[in-house]
Amino acid sequence: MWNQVGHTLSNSMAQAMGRFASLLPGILAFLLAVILFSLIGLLLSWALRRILISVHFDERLGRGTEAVTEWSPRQTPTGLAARLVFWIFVVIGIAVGADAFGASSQSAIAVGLLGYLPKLIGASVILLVGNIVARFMSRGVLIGAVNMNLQYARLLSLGVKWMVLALTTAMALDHLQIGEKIVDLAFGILFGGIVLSLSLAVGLGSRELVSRSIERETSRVTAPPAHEEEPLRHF
Amino acid sequence: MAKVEVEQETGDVSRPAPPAELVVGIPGLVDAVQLRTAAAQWTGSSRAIAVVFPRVPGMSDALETLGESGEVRLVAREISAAANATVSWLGQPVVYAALLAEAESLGASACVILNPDLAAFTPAAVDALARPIRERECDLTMPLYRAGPFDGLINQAILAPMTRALYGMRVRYPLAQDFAVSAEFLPGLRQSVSTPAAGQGLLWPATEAVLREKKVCQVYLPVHHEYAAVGMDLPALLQQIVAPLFADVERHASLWQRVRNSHSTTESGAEPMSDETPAGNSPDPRPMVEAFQLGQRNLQEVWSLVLPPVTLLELKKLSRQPLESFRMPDTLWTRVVYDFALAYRLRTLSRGHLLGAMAPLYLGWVGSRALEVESGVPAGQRQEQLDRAFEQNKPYLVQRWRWPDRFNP
Repeated sequence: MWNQVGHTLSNSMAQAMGRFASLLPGILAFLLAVILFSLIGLLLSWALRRILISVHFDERLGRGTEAVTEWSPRQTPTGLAARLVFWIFVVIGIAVGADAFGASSQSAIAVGLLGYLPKLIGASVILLVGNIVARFMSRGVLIGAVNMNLQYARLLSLGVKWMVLALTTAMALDHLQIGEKIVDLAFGILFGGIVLSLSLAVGLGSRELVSRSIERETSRVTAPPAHEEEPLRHF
Repeated sequence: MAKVEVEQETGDVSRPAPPAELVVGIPGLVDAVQLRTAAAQWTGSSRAIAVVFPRVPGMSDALETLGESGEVRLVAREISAAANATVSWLGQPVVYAALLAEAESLGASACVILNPDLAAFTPAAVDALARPIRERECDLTMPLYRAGPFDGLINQAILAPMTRALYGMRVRYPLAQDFAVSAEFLPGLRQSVSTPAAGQGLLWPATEAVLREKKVCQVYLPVHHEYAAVGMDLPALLQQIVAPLFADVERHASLWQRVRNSHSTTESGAEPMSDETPAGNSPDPRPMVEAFQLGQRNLQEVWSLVLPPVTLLELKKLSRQPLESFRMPDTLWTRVVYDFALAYRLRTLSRGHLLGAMAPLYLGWVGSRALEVESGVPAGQRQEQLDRAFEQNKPYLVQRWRWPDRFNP
């Protein structure tokens, strides 16, 4: 009996090793494709950067670049274009490598993983973009609120940041098809709850404040502007 | 009766425009009626003067229907202002370039650029600006206005001291919209505003004069301009005025790092009355100091990206001062401005956010200045001290500029 057990075990071990060995060419092909395309991307992005610098691309773009620098302050349009080219080639390399891996492998697990790879990449991009947007918006709200003399500026900024992050996480999970209905429901409840509590806070707690603010705005529209000399002239 | 000619663009190159001794350029949209009325003041003038301004549809017709009342030739030129360039009330570089080119083509011996509100379009003011050029005393005449201690605060706090410290030129209004340029300086100045980089900013005539080693003088101008930035919020104003200055500082880094000390310019004209504010007319410093304190409580995270630890510590100490003793030291303010200029160059954070984060600090400076004026310190004397502080701290900027990571006190 022990002989049979040992025989069965060694057979399954040999089978597993054989399957793993059959995956090796695919893994090697995947790595090779990614490295090759990354190198091509690196070369092309370097060439593109040189060309764009020589034609003064950033200066020619003029004010259009303000939008780029607003969202990504440390990047110039030239730098962004060069990086974009590099990452496009990396993604192409991954796609080609994955295709080569799939062609050389008949394993159901490998095929399943390959099918999931684009979704993983998509979810990572969503999280990355969401993180950048959350950081940018929270900083913008914080500075804007301070300049509007709002005492709860930090709270407002944190609220915006976590709202965007929660939205992004829900989107990423939805994209990955993880707990689809639960995520939808939980996000709906969370978002609806925040909006409802804000409405109640404004409607009940700050009713007088809102009405005074509306009155002030109305009187500003109807009353003729008073020609008072401003004590401060910034420019 | 004197004569006003209204010249329209015909595109006929075979008939050259008659030369003008003096060209007056207006870098913005002008009111036709106001322009005609102002031109009427020139009756009796013996000189050939051409007034060049951007043409808008129907403007020339409006000018023609107003009849003859002056001694000047009004030249309406089609100038297509860049839709996304500098705000119109500050004058767009493309418009300046077109006006200067027109003055060159008309063979003018001097070109006087005036604020579009036409407050300075009087024979006295134009003569005051053009006289030093005609008498070959200098190549650029900048104005000296009569201003109170709370007029042109961004100019007092940042523009004038920084121009003096960096470029070594003691010009009190480096971003003035009334100035005169000699025929020799015209091509250089036009060239400077014609580059793509300059097209996005503002025209800094005094800086360009320093770059081209031209002589600058200043004249007292009996003119009062209406406040153009009424209702504009402070961060937007800083974005429109200070951001172009920082961009200019970045562009000319190789020049200003070599400049040592500053020198005064020739001043002429009748000096205006003292600019001290009558008692009880100074603004309430409390809201400004409170805005600074609110910024200190909330913007630590943003300021720490821009300012070194020592400056952050000093700002923290300052925010704890009671209102009566709240005074922002000149050195602290100078270093704050220099660090923000550096952060603008390094793109430490979004440039819109950067200037927004500077607003509470600037208000702190304004509050401090208001308290000083209230306590009887002469504004002129304080301004001179601040200007000197900018000069004395220039090595700090140079070091930070060259080694931003290594030199971080």
